[in-house]
Amino acid sequence: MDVCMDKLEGIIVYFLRNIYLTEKSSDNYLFIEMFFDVISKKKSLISEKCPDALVPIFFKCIRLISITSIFRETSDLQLQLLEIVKFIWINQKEKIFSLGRELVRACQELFKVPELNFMIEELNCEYDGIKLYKKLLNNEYSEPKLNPQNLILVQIPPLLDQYSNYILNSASKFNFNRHLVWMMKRVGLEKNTITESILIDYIRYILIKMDDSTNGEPDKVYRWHILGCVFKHLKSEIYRTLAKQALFFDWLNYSGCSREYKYFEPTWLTILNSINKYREMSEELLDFLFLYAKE
Amino acid sequence: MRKSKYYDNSSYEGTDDSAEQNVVKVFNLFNRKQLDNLLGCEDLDAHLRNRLQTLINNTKLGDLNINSKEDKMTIEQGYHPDMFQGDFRIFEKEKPFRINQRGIELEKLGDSVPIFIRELNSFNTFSSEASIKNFSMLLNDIFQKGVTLANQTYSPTMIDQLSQDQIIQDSAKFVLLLSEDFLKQPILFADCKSFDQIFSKILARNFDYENEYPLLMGLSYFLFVKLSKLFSENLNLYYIMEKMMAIIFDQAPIVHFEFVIFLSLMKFYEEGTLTNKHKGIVNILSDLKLERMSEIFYRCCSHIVGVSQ
Repeated sequence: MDVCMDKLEGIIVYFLRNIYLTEKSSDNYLFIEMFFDVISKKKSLISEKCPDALVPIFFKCIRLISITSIFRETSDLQLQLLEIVKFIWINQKEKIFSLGRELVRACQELFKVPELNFMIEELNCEYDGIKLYKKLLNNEYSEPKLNPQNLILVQIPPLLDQYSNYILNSASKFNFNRHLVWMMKRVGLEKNTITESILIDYIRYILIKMDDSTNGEPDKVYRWHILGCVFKHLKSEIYRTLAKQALFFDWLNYSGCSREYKYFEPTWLTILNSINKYREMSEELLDFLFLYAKE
Repeated sequence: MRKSKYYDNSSYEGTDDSAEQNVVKVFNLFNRKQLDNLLGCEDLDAHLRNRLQTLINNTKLGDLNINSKEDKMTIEQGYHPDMFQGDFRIFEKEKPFRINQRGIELEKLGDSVPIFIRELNSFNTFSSEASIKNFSMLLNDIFQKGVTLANQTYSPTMIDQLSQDQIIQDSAKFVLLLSEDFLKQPILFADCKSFDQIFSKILARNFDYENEYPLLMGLSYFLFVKLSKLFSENLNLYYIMEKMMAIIFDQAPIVHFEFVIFLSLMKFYEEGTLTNKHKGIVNILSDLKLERMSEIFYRCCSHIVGVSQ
């Protein structure tokens, strides 16, 4: 039975990873609706037999809600997502906390959704004298399997994951641009469309999940190369702002843990190394950092 | 509420520091040279430059509230530039015959010392006095050169230049050749009947005593401390050293082995199971954190092809 449940979790995560909103395809939208319809009907069974699978489902749902809430759409899908989110929050709250800092980041955009106010209020409650969201910012509840590094993968289509690994390990900095553009094309990313939202989580994925390759190739691609290129690719103003938030979120919430340097370094190198060739980009990032920190 | 058993900073009680203070702390982690370069960039918007300048001044003035638990933890775990000032005096003192010996090895190397090393200012200082202190400075400059190359931007013009990888390879070779006599010293473990005897042999290779104070003798302990020092002070340079260490481990297994022994000593020391005989020497290691050194060691090993977790 355990093996079956592991398989079920794997299948759910696989489907979740392939779910992202695109501008044109109605088939894609139908697939998303059908999938969450099944999840909604079977949520009690999943909660009982395979509770770990609820965390990625929850994360996917709140990310989808925040993307759709930007456009103030209240669709059937959104109502269904809200229902699933409420169910998981009530039944598996402690497991959800393993999302840590990513949960707080996702909630930044959920302030606009009145139906989820209960979540925001609870995050502001104090436990042992410390506000819950502060504990989450320090990833206090993460576990080896359920941690922000692994859970961010839910937002990354498998092709992006595989191809990013290839770029970091085997591509050279002379051709990685072409690889990235090709990769985005394959996933269906188009400029100035809702698909750009994938790149926000892709930035988080590059920062917290990926490492710079250690194959010692002289022309190897570093994470900051990819971040610079992805940021240049983003055209929609909303997503550019969200991307900047994603880049600096760890800076503002630095907990003093030495391992966090991994999250700061690529953004810092992007600013530093773009100053000559892409001065506007470096300035835009620095300007945003100062404003964001002040707010 | 359940707290994960994997959460290891149990003493941490959160922080009320503002986002601005946190950003200052993050800037405090970065390489000072890089910050100065950014400030020196004439193209940068004047308003941004002023903001940056204020921020960097704040960092320099030590505006950080270093009494807070968070900062104490930062300092404990590394990266704070002031952390090691005045510590590890062992770098400052070594027996003159070791310095001379190193000088002789350097002379033997002659023109085979890579050109990029010979071009560095600190090489002149090192060749006039081949002390471990000057060697440390020379290594810093070598790593800095490696970092500069790695920071070339999107359209680099470094095809014909020296690559970072080449710098790492050459410097590893240089370190090994320079310490040839140390590496060639045979250690016979056949007659060792306990860990204690192995420890004694390894420590004798790395230290000598003068009035009870241990003097630095060997390469391994120097590299061991240097890794930790760089990890705390400058991560950009540290990454280069990490890779250089992987090559040294691969080509000089004795250094690899001695690192393991140092870690074991630290472990026994922490557990309180170390014999009195070695307690004095291990006081030097107590400036280092076992957990962090183990992580650093593991990171170096992970670069070696064929060594698994």
